Amino acid sequence: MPFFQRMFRRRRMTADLSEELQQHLEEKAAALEAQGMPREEALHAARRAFGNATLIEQRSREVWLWVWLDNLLRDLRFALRQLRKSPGFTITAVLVLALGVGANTAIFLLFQQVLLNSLPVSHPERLVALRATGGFSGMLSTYGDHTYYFSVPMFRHLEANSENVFSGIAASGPFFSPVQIGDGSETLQGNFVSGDYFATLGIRPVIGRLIEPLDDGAPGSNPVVVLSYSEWQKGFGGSPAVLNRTIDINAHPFTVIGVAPAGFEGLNREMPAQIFVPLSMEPVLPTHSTSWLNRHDALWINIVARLRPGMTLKRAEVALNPLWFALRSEELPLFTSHSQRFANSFLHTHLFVTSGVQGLPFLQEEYGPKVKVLMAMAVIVLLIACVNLANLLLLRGVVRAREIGVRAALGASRWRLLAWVLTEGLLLAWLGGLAGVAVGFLMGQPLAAALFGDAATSSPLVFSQSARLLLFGFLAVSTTGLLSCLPAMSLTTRPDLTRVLHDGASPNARSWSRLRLTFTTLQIALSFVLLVAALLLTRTLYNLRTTPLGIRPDHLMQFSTDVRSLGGSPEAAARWMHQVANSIRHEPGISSVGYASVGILTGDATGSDITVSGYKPRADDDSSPDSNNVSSDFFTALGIPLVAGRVFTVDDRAGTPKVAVVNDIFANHYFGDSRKALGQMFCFGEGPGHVPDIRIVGVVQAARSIQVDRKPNPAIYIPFSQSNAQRAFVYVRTLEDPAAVSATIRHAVNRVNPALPVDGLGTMQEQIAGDIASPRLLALLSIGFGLLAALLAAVGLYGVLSYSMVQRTREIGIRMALGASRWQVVGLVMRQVGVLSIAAVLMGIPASLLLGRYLRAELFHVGSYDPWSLTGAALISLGAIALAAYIPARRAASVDPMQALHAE
Amino acid sequence: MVFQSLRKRSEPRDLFPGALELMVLQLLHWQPMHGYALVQHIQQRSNDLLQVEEGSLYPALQRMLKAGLVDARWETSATNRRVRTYRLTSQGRKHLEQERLRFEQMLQGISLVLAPNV
Repeated sequence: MPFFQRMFRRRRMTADLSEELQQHLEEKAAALEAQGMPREEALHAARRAFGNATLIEQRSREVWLWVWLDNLLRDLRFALRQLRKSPGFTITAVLVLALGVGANTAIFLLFQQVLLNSLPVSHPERLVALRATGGFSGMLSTYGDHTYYFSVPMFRHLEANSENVFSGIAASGPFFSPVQIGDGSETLQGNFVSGDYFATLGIRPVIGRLIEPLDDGAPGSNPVVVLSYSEWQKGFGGSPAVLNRTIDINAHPFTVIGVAPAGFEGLNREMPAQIFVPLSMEPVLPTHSTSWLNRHDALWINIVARLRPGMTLKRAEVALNPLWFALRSEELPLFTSHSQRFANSFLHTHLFVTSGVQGLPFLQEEYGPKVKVLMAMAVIVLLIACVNLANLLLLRGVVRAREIGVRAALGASRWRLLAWVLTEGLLLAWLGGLAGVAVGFLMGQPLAAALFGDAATSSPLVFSQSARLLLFGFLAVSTTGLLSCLPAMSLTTRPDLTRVLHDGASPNARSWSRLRLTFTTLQIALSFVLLVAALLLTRTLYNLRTTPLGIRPDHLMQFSTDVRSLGGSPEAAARWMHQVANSIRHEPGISSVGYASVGILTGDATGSDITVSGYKPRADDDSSPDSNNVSSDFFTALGIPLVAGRVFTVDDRAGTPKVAVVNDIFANHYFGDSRKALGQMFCFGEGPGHVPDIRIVGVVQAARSIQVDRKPNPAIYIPFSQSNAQRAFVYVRTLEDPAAVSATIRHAVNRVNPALPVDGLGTMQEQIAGDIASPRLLALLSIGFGLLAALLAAVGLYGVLSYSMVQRTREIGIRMALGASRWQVVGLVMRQVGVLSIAAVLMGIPASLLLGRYLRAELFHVGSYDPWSLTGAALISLGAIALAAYIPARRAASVDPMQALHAE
Repeated sequence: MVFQSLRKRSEPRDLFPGALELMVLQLLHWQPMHGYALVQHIQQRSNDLLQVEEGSLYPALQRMLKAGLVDARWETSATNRRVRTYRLTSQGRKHLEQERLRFEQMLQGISLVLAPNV
């Protein structure tokens, strides 16, 4: 019979069968009656002869293949009807799951983005990233928190000697540069890339061609640029006419040769690159005061490579390390080291080959632990939700033990009963899951944006794998549903029919109620752990907010500008900056204006080795102070107090004796005291030929200048006009609300030269808030999770207690009849709750101590064993428990003994 | 199918697999009849030697319906009762012949084995 026809006829067939069986029974009964049997008795005898009518009907129907589907639909309809009948139960269960699953879905989005997404390159699984350990002396480039492990000479050496390990090897390093497109000037993020970069990654151009080995030739000789897809769309409207056009990067003409595919914006996802230029063009776009292209002592690039077939990470590492050690030994004499300790640490080195699937591991290093913490929390919340649902279903199962018993007695097979319970559980789980995934989707994107900034959400590759997300949500929900059904399912497998039908209660109700209490205890313990974590992270946030920075962040505006686009010498740059500062200072509402070559609290720092006259470094001293080039009003504008000596004046400029201001940490380290530092001489660099020629004229108080959570280092400030800095961060102290002067500032800069960019104009408070944005988000989310967990646990406890009070009404009635006071009855409830809370906290404390250790990296000025957080969490838990217990306890106390005893 | 094992376990089996089916087919071959009549005929013709749980007939009938060996239609019986009468299809007739042959061969085999030694 054709499929559809059969489906169509199913309903009629079922009706036919029922009628047929009915007719059979009646005919039999009629026959018996005709033999003289009374009607009643004849009917009974007919039934006996027939067997179990329900079962036979079911078996007969099952002959038709589609019966299982039929059963399923029937169960589904029945489950839906049941759920509609008890909306309180349904809403609670769906809500509990939606919250649990929603939290997980959202966090999974983050997790996937940081840890699972792979690069849009061909065969990303064969890509590896290199990194190295070992001491170093020289210049390190840091962008935010990112570390660059290699110099260009190191790369060239590895490139020339790794053919048997890698089928391709490539380097890239970041830069920022003003770019003139048409009339507008904008500062863009760029990547210097080696000639084999695109070939190694296996990337094809959208139009034109990409950078090739020939482009990476003699320094400065190939001014070509590849645009990212999004920059092509944004700056050129996606027009193919962009090819062979000239754009000015740092006032230097570059020819556009091609466009990279959509979604590819370099290997560092946090700093998506808009333009790519050959590594050999670095001298033209100096990111640093001099070219680092050939310097052994400047680490500013990272290396990716493609494994040869048959190579594994381990084998590549084994093959490369002798090469790496030889390179380091060769390089050691180039460093004028001052200690054996340095030599040891320089040579004690290891080259790591790590998976490059997700791009350079920066995003993972920075956010991986945070996301894992969140994931762990979300899983705990899901666990609580799951236990909660199990408890609810179990409760329902116990209450309906009689119903199950009746069905079993009527011949429902065990499997049918199981299917019935499972259908209801899974239906609930999927309803909850559907709501949860929706919540997760809504929350996921803003979450990612909040945690990673715009970088994460601007690129199209992100959030493209929602299929994976749906699969995850489905699996999470189904598992939850199945697990939650387990206890209720066991009710169906051993129904003690006589007892169930007689007493109307499950025979082992007591053991079930014990199981529910255990579940509840588990929930409270889990929520306690989450609360401890939330409090630890909240205290971290508080400490980050209140830690003294050494600058006055209020009434402070900041922006960055770049005078390179105007061309000209370092002297000209200093003059331009002087004019910019003057122009702003003369506006109303401005109290002072300072600028520096390295931004404050941007995460950036420049460290350098120095030689201090009369100072012999100890063998274990390899400190390299931070250095910054600042204007004379820099300290006033930022509110950094002078400790001794003087700050710079207009007379400290190019051509006059070199001077420096240091911070008190520097003074104490090298001279033991701030006063003693005045008049001392030092110079940058180490070893013979370095003659101290910079005089220390002042000492200022140390400030946290890199990041809020980083202790200040020894620091040196050099007059901006005695440096060759060309990029400047400008700090404007205002008299009134700083945000009110934005327009004024833009106007003032524009008056000096319309080509000067004003990038990132905003208040210092915003900058700081941005700096601690991810700890803040972590704290907020963990508070959310903690409270959610406490709420879920309280709901669970409330449910269990109310139910157990109903069950014990008779017992309470008897107790009261025998003279127990209301308080003793309340005590009865409270004793149960007390035991439960103590057990929960006893379980929770060791678990939270473990969690604390796991969290250590995320904490700031808080011990991982923080008694305050433990106490706080205990108090919140107790509060939630007391609230949850209050209503059932009161209800128990108001039991009327007469009624309670009569009701039975 | 999921239910297979559960069904097999509790299916009341007569004599040998297929015996009930064979008898039903044979009865229907002589004349179309409804379920109750089938039960009566089996009992009478076997001189009450075969006692079937009456209901167990129906799953077998459904199986035969599904296999296309019989078809069924609602009729009014001689006693003015609405009954569902089954009749053999041509396919069912063919099936009956085959099964009969197999049954007779089997019976012959068994009686040879059971026959007293000569």
